[in-house]
Amino acid sequence: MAWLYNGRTLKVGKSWTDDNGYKHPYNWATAWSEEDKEQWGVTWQDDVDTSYDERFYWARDVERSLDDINVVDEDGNAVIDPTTGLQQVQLGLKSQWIAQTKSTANGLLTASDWYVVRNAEKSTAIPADITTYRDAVRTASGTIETAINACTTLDAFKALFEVPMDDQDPPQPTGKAPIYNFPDEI
Amino acid sequence: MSGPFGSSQWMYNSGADFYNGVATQSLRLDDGSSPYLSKSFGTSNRKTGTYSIWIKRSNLSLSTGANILSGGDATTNDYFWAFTNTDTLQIRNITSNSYNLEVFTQRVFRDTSAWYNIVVVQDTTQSTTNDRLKIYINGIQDTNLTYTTMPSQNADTSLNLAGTHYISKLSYANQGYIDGYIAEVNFIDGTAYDASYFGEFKNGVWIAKEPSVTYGTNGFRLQFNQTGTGTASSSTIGADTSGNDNHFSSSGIVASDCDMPDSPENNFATFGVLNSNTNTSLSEGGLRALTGGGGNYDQVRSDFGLSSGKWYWEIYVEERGYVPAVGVCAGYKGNNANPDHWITFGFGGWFITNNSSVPQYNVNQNSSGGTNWSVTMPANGDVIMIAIDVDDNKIWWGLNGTWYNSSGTANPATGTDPRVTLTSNQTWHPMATLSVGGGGYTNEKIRMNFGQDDTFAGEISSTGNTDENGNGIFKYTPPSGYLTLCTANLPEPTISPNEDTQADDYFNTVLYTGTNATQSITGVGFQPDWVWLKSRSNAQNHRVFDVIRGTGEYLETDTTDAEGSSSTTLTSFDSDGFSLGGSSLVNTNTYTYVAWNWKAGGTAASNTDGSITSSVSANTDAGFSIVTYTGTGASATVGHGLGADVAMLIIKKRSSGGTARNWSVWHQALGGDNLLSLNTTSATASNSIYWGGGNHTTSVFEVNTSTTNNENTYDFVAYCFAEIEGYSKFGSYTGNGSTDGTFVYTGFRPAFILYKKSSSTGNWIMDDNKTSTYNYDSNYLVANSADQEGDTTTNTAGHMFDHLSNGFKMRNTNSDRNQSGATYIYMAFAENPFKYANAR
Repeated sequence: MAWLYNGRTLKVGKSWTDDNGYKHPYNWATAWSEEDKEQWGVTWQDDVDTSYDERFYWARDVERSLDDINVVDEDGNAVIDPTTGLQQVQLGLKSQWIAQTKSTANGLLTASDWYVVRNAEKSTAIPADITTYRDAVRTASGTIETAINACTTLDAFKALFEVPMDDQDPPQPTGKAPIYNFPDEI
Repeated sequence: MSGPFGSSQWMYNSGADFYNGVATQSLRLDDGSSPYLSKSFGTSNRKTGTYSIWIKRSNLSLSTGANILSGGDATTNDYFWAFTNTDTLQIRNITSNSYNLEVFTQRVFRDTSAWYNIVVVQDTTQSTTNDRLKIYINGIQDTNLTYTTMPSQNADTSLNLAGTHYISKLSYANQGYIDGYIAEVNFIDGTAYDASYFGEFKNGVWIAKEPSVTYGTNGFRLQFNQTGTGTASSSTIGADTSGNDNHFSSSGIVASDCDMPDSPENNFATFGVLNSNTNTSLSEGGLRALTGGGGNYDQVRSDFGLSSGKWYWEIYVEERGYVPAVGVCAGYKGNNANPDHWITFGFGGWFITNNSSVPQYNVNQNSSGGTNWSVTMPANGDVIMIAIDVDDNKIWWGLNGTWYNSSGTANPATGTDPRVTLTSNQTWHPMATLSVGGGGYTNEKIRMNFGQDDTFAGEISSTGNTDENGNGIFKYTPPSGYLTLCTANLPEPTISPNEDTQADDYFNTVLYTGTNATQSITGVGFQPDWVWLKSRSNAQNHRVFDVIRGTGEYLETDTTDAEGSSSTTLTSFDSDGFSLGGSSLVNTNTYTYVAWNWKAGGTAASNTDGSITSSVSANTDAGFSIVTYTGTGASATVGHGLGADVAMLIIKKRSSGGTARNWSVWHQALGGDNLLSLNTTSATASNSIYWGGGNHTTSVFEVNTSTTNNENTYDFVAYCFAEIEGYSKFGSYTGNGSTDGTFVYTGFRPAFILYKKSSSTGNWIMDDNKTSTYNYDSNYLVANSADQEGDTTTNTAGHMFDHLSNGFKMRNTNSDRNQSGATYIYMAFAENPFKYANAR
């Protein structure tokens, strides 16, 4: 969606100069009536919706790859990393989110690492709820990674980000989105 | 022709009154004092509400978060909207002891140099799930949210549930306090408003405006222009000015925290955590600095840069301690490294014990050296004054209203008897060094007044002296001509939201998707003269076009190839962008692309300023010109048309005859006969054949016998740049190899940055504000490589960095950006000058 003047896209909140050299105020979009805009040749055009979710798409309807891709040049030849001499690989969504999941798990475990250190240094017992929590974090991480790896389509991958809902009217959330389904912090 | 309101420029404001006068004061919150505002509300609309807050953060990554709003019954039904300990923003609601709303921003909020406007809109009546919670940052809806849990349609939440509601505290625990400043807080009960009800864009800057809202029963507006504290009333700091009289009580807040002049409409200097030694700690909104850890000579610094003009500030000596020092520095190299230059006045117990009670001034010296200066030793409770004349490279120190003499009668107003001559052409930042106590002396503590608090957080009584612009509030009268360190006093850039042209009239980035069919790319905002295209999604060569060489004629920054020609690539330069043919070189179907666009001077003119006649398309306002010429193979000069000192040159042989040549780059930070190649990772090469000494002038640049920029009979194109304050910067920085990386001050919020390690091999990294619209930014392209936008296994993670309101800060250890000790050169173009920029 955009305001146009003689083929130019006008930015809301920015002054502009028309073809006759008149400079218009920054607040033209809100201060001008529809008649004012028409008089000054400003028209509204509904653009094609170009919004997209950066997590899954490069642009609207241009999907990011689920799997790692060997990088090739415009002629289809393999791109070799000049430093390593190895085929260059573009990480796919699955690799990126597995790394993210491991990072999240690490962050959740770090908060209670001191119990483990204390146990190692002073033999002070780790509280049972901490042990249970840390195990649950590891289990959740493994479950999420398995779910990521099981995806064969982008739709299946996107489903991992959806909050599960029940069948009530209106539906009620029943838990966390699978890809964020770590135990609550304690 | 008359305009619709009688005059074509009836409302265009090119004067000083840029803002609306809506957000002109703030409340300081010091998390160490457990500060908060609170009010008990009855139950009202639990589905729908809107919250707008302006906030300038000081300490980051607080372990228990920082709540911008919370409330509920403080047992099993609560909500809290808060910065997390990783500086994202979380919106959470607890109902019956379970989360039924959890939304997180992917962006981090860690720009402490300026103000954010955050608008949170909750509306569970929306049929589309993710429409039930929206967040606007500086007027733009954040569409990159993580919706972990969302409430069902029409669900009642704990928002507006009967109970006590808090700002700067978690509702059900004594934690989660904000550290920083807040201003112009509005809460609307029962109505969802988008950000446009609280602000407006003015030539690219989001500014506060008078809210046009219906507040509802529990709605309130806090403007923080009262100085009373404690019990809720119309005369205390929590006064509600919405008309509802929903006044808040305050706790942990004192009078000196109230009605602060640091505001979204006039941003003041503070010390900052982004660029201070990690052994130190800051409090009182970045105005109190304490020795922490076990460090000595640890520097605390302000991110507020002074590149011209005369400036004045004050320091209160809370604990003199052992060896504190106060002054200025320039040329950052990371939090814990000494900068290129620092000039300080040192005093304290060490000097009493070991130097006959004689202080010293120090130039680039810490633990040893310094020059004795027989002036009165500051004591606890004293106020030290600093005046700096950046234009004349002079600095003075004074004590309790009297300037320290050096050899005559010190007087900053007349420029007489300064203590030290500063290195010229630097951007100076206020700084101090702090050490742990030694020799029986205490740890050091100082309090700063850059013009926002002459009581130093209640330590002394106010005297209320302002600078001659009426800004600031000081213990002592600033010398005539010396100003408060606030954005209102920064010089007006020639390219500015408050001038006829803005940064995006000269440089802009647009994104598009290839179609393999003709298409017009619009939204640039001007007719570009230099267009640089690159596929983001796929490996494909960079291709640049310019108005002199003409449509269809492209060069590749990542190859040595001569100029290519294809009539189906860029087919025209248009008034709002450019048009493409169906060529897969720049328009492959489904590939996504970025286009970086610069405005030069349109059609070229002949230029005979140099020994070689050139064709020049120059834009002296923006400091950019495109130059074509034919090489001679001998020492020569070439007219560039900038009318200003050359800051950077990018040159490429166009001709297909002879040997293909590298791109040549000259950068002012390297100077002389140093050369980099845009298409390679090579380190800086130095040879007199490149630039003949590099003594470029305001009208010509030098070339010599090098085939890369002056091969006999062959054609070349040069892209030439001059630095424009507040719009472009061509500088250098030193990496520190830390994820808490080097802060680089540009004086503007960057829209585009190109970096290269100059001290050894490294890629040319390219970042902009469109391929990644929020921090952290890890998207990048490589000018010397056809690689698609990261990540690849070879250019993998670790590229994180933050765009800031006044520069950028590395958050990675990648050797292409932030190798410890390595030197990098960069060129950057602005989104907005710091004078007006919001935090990112």
